[in-house]
Amino acid sequence: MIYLLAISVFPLAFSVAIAFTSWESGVAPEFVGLANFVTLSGDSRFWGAIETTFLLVLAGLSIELCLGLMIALFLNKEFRGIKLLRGIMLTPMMLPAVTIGMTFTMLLNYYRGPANYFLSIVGLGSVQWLSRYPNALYSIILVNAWQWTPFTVAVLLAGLQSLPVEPQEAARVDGASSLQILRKVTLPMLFPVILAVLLLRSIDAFKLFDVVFVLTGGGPATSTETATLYTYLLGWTFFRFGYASAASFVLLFILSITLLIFIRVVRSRGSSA
Amino acid sequence: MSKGEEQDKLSRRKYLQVVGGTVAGLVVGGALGYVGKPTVTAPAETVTSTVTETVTGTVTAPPPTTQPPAKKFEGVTITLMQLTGPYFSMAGKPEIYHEWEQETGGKVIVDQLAFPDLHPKLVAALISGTATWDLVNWGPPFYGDVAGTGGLEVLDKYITDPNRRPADWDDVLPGIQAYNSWNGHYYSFPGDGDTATMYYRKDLLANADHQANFKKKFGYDMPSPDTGPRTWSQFNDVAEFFNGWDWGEGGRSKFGTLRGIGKVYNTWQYGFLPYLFPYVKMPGPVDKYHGVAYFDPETMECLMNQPGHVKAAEMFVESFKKGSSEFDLGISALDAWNMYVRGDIALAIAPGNIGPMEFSSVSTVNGKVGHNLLPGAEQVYDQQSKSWLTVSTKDPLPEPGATKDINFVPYCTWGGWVNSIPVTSKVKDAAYDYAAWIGGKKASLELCLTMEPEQSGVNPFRYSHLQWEPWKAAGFTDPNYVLAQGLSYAHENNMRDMRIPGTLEYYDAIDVNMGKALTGSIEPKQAMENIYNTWTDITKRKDVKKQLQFYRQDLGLPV
Repeated sequence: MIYLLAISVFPLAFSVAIAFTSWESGVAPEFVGLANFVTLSGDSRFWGAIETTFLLVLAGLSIELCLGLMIALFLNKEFRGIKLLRGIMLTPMMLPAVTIGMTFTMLLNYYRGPANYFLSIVGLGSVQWLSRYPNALYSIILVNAWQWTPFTVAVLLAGLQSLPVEPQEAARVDGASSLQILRKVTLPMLFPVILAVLLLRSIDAFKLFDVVFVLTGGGPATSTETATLYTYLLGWTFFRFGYASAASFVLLFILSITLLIFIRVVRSRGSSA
Repeated sequence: MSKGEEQDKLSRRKYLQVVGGTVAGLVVGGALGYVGKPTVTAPAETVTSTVTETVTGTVTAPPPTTQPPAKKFEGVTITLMQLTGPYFSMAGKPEIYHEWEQETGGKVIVDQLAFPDLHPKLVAALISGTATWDLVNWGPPFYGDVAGTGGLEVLDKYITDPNRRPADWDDVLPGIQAYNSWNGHYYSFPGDGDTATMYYRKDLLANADHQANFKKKFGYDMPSPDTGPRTWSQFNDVAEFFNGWDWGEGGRSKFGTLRGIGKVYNTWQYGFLPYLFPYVKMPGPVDKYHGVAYFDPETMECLMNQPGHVKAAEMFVESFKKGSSEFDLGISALDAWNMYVRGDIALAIAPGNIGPMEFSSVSTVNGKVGHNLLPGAEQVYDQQSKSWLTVSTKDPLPEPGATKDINFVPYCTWGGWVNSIPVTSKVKDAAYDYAAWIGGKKASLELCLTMEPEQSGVNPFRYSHLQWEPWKAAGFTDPNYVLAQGLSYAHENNMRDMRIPGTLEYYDAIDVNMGKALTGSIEPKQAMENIYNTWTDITKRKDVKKQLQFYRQDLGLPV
């Protein structure tokens, strides 16, 4: 109980407390009420970071879901080597994000990276992957999707394998095509699993930090700076502890509201379908 | 009990009988043998003579047994927090720790932190009084945030104490001494020196074809290979000339300059601020109009939107657009340095770290690189007369004491990694002794001279480091490499990093807005206006009077 209090309750309570203070380097902590939150409301860099975060999440989830579903449907078959293929497929999500970030920093290096080398072999020009906007943003989306699509695959595959086969067989007997079976039978049954994977990935994607930090550092300028990266800068580079704490709670609030809205919308569409 | 179990039981009984009998027999036999063995009696005369000899002979008493003197810190362990090596740290040659250990009997445990973690954890630990390290290795730009916590031991009495390991403080370059002090006291012992130095390909500048083509394009002679460019205008022109075509080996186009301004800290440090100071810092003793660049030292009014500052921004952006590449926004300073020694870049602005890299196994520039202090500006904006003026300052390489009608302002950025003692340490004496040893003349010179594969990242910071012979013996070929760094710190018109609370937040505004100017999102003038607004907000938030006090202390002005 004491351990639980020490590692979860106390840090949370402390964070809440300092969010209402002006604590930063060179300034003693002083209660300032809602001043940090008021300042945040006018902090264009914070809201720019929120916008960037939403872009990353929406684009990334779209790719992960579409690609993940396609791959899961493919892996939901039985043929020689399928087990090995499934195992290989899951590898990216087991790697540390920093390792992935550093690897892709090298792969996408404009001057000596393999990506541009292969592009030049097929007659395409070199791309400024990390130093030009919006390329830098696309690179982060792709790298993040590369890492986490396997997670989507794993969950969707488990879902597919748990679905009853009778409805699909019945539809096939009735003359439905594969696409019709997928749209009218499989996907509706898989809907709860899709919702679960979207929720889990959303929560994780909103917290995206390490890949961005390593790949671009939030640059060029602040064009790929996420909300978590900016909050980190506030706390651990600028040493504005109170303000950073307030920013993190605002971020938590935004995330919670967004997910609530998302769940309601998706559920209402699911039930009407 | 089954037959099988009975049989097992029988066999176990038999086993015990055999083993027990054997052991008993051996014991008895051994005892009997011992008792029964014949006694060997030495002949009486041998025993007698031996005894006589021993008692009556001249025997020299063995010398009294003395214990070796206890080593000074026998049994003392110090925990040293420092950067993960090898660059920027003193971890590149771990056997150095063992030399101190052998001499003093102490023990060093190293706790290494990655660069992004080091200062946050240090500040957090010092603020909360929970620092568990005995010695911490960190960077002076954070002085305003670190020293102001009250968590560091003041080292004044340690440095001047004749009973301690000598600090040889007079041997420390003046600019480095200044970097280790704050608010009139020393809070750290130097262990490194960093200053922005210009690296240029002297072989390219000496090439007759390049010289002819340069003159044709720009209408004046290519800067001399003995000095390299001496103004930022010349630097930009040379960078533009060598940018975007293959002037070397490798079959691919190369860069005029890259500074690695894509990652943390690098736009302000090796990008913009080297350009800024020559256009804005009037030489002379520090007062309202001289020796300052960031704020008015009487009112704390931000100066970053003044004409000189805008001009510097325009020159920096020009160097990027004409002499560099967008690619520079996606790489770190270390990437740029690696590319420099691989022969991909003509001009570089960097600390002394590139020097040892010139001799690395991947380098193609060994012996081809010239070194000099940073370029200056033809004119400097005078706040007092609100006009542009031409001033004369020293340009000591290659002629010591030479002056030119150029405002040279060597930028002694970062100040080198320093060592401090948290007040929570229980072994301060040992910790200081280690800091004074590794920052002392002998060990620090040894670290300066290490090259691949154990490059330490330590750059010169003492007068004794500037003697050429040891460098020559270590394989360096250009004395100017050492002199450029030393003369930067000794230059009367040099500039240090700002060291007030929130320095990195102020500098971050430069990174963000210059980044926007470089990508073309905003004009340089707007970038400086944005920096002015952000800096003004930061100063107000932290209290103008307090920041003014810290700023004046940092400048050496009375408070």
